[in-house]
Amino acid sequence: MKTSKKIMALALTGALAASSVSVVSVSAEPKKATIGVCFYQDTGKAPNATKAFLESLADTLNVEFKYGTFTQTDEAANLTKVQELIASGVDGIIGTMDLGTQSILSECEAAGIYYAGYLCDFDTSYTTAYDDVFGNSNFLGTVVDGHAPDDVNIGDQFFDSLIEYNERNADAPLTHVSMAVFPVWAFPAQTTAAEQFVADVEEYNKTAETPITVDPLDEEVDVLNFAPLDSTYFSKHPDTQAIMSFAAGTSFVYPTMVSAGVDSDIKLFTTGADGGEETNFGSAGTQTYQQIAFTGAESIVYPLVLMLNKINDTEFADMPEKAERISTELYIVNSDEDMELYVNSLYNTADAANAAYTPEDVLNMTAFGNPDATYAGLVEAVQTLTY
Amino acid sequence: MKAVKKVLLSLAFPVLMFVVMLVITMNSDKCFVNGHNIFLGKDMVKQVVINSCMTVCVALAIWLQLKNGRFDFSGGASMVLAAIGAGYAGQQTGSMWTAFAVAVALGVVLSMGTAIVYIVGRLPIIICTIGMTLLYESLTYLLFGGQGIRGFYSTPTLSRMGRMPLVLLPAVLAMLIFVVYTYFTASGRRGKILANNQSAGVNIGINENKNVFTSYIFSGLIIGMAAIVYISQNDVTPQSGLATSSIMFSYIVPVFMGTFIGLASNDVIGIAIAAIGMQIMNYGLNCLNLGAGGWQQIIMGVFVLGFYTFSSQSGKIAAFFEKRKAAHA
Repeated sequence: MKTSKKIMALALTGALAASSVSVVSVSAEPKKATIGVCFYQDTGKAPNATKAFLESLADTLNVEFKYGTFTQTDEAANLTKVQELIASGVDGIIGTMDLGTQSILSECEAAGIYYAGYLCDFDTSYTTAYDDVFGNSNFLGTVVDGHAPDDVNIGDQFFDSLIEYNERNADAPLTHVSMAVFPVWAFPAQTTAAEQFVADVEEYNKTAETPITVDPLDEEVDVLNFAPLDSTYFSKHPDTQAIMSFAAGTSFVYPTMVSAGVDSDIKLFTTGADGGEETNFGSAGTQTYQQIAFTGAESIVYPLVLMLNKINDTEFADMPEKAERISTELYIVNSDEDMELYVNSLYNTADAANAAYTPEDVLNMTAFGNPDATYAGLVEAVQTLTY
Repeated sequence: MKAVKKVLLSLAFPVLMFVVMLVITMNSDKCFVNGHNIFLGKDMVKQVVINSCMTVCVALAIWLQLKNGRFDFSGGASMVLAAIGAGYAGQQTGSMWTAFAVAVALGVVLSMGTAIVYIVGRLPIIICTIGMTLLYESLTYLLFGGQGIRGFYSTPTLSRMGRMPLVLLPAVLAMLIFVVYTYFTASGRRGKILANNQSAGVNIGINENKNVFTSYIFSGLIIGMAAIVYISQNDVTPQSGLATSSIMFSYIVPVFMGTFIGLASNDVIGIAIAAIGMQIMNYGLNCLNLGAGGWQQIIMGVFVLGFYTFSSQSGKIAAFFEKRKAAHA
C-alpha cells in the first residue's frame, strides 16, 4: 500500500468521523423494524463480521435482524427462503445473490416489503432485466463486492501489488507470473481484470529494466470450474514465480500449492480473505501470501440505510430516481503493515468494536436520524472503506 | 509361482492404467511443456501417493462396515468432527502428535456413539447412521465457535501427515488395523456370516452386539487415520445436510474395485491397488485438462461402469474363453 494512499484514506476516515460527531441530531425515534439478511454461505469471515456489525447496530437503529442463507444455484430454494422470511414478518430483506431476483421481487411487492443487495453486483439483472429490477420501487439497490463489472480496477490493483513487492524485494523481484480465474460466465469481471493486469504489465515492460513475463490465460488450465487448482498447474506453468489469483485463492489455489509442496517457492496474490492467511503472509512463515483483498463488512450500511429510510417513511433529498449498484473500494492487504491492520479489523475479528462505523455513525447516515444526511454521503461512506 | 501370479494380477490394474494414460498423454499436445510429457514428471508419483493415502484410509473405513453388512452413513461426519477436534488440539498445543492422538481417540468415541445408538435403539442401520450423521454435523456448527479449522494444513510443522513421507504412516496403520480386525479377531472372521445372513448368524450363536462394538472400535481407529490426513490436507468447515456422507462416499469407487482386484490377493491390497490405479487415472486426466467438470465425470462414470460390468460378468467371460479353448482343442 502506498503511503500517500494511506494518508488519504486516514484523512477521509478522520473527516467522516469528525462530521459524524458534529451533526448527530436524531429527529425522531426510529420505527421498530425487522430485516432479513441472507448470505451466500452460513459461516465465514464476511457473514460473521457482518452479523457482528449488524447486531451492534440493533439497539440504536431499533432493528431486529434475522439471518438466512441463499444458494448459488437453486432459484426455488432462494424464493422459499424469502417466503419464510416474509411469513416471519420482516419489513425488508438484504440478499447476496442475484438468482431469481424477479420472482423474489414479486413476492416482496405482494408483501409490501423492500429488497436490496449486498456484496453482489446483480449483473444478470443489471444487463438483462434492468427496468424490472432496478426500476422496481421495492428494489433499493445494491453494494458490490469491489468494483462493478463495467468499472473493473482489480487488475490494476494486482499490478500495483506486484510492482510494490518487486520494489521491496529489488534483489529478487518476481519476473514470471501466471494467473487463475473463475469461469467468465460466472465472474466476467475476473477475466476483464486478468486482461487489465496483462495490459498493465505490457505497458510496464516497455520501459522496465527487468521485464515481467505473464503466462497467457489458458482457458483449460487457468480457469477454475469452482474446483481447486489442478495439481498439474505447476507442471504446466513450470517457470511461474507467483500466481495472480483473481479467483478466491485461499480456498481454490493455496491448498494445491501446499499439497504440491510449492508454497515456499511460489507467491500468491489473491482476492478474498478466508482466514489463516496471516501465518504465511508477507515476511511471515512460508511468505506465500503477498496480497489478499476484501470488502469491508461495514459496506452493508448502504442497503441497510436505504431500507430503514423507506421503513421510516423518509428519503434523502438527493435520492436517485432508480436503484443503483455502488462499487466499493477493496481493502488491499499487500504489506506487513496492512496485515497488522487486517488482523485487528472487524472483518477478521468479527468484533464490532473494531468496525469503521459506530451505531451513532450509522444512525447519522440515515435521513430520519439526520435531516442533513445525503445519498452522496452514504455512497462516500461505503467507498472510503479502504486502506 | 502362484505367489508371482497373484502379485502380477494385483499389479495389472495400475500398470495397465499407467500404460493407457501414458499412451494418451504422449499423443496430446496439452501434456507437453518445454518438450517434456508432464505425465512423466516427478510430481506424478508424489501426487498419486499422497492422494491414494487419503483414499485408502476412507475406503477401508467404508469397507470394514460394509463387509459386516452395514452401510454406514455416519463415517464421514465422524471423520470431519474428529478432524475438527484434532485440528483444534494441534493448533492449541503446536503438536502434530497430539492432533494425531485426538483424531484417533475422537474417531473411536464417535464411532462408538453410533454403535451404542444402533444397539440400544434397535434401529435399521441406515436410519441410525443418517440420524447420527445429522447429529454429528450439527456439532460442527457448535464446536469452537462454529468456525471449523482453518490454517492447520498450511502450518508445515502440524500438517506433515498430509505430505510425503509421513502421509504414508496413517495409510499403513489403517491397513494394519483392517488386517488385524479382519484376519486376527473372531469378530472380524464372523462378520462375513452376519453380512451374508444376519438372522442365520445370530441363530448359530454369533453375538451381533459384540460384533458391532468390535467392528466400530476398529473402524473408529481407521476413521481417526482418515481424519488426521484430511485435516492435514484441507481447511475443515462446518457441514450440514449430509454433506459429510458426500465427502465419505466420494472415496467409495476403490472399495468396489478393490474387492474385485483383491480376488487375486486380499481385499485390503485390492483397495490400495485400486486407489493407486484411480489416482493414476486422475493425474492423467489432469494432464489432459480433463481433471474437473463434466468430461471428468463422464470419463470416470463410464470407466467405473465398464469395470463393474466386467467384474460382474468375469465368470461368464472366463467360461466363454474356456469353451473356445475346448472347441479348438
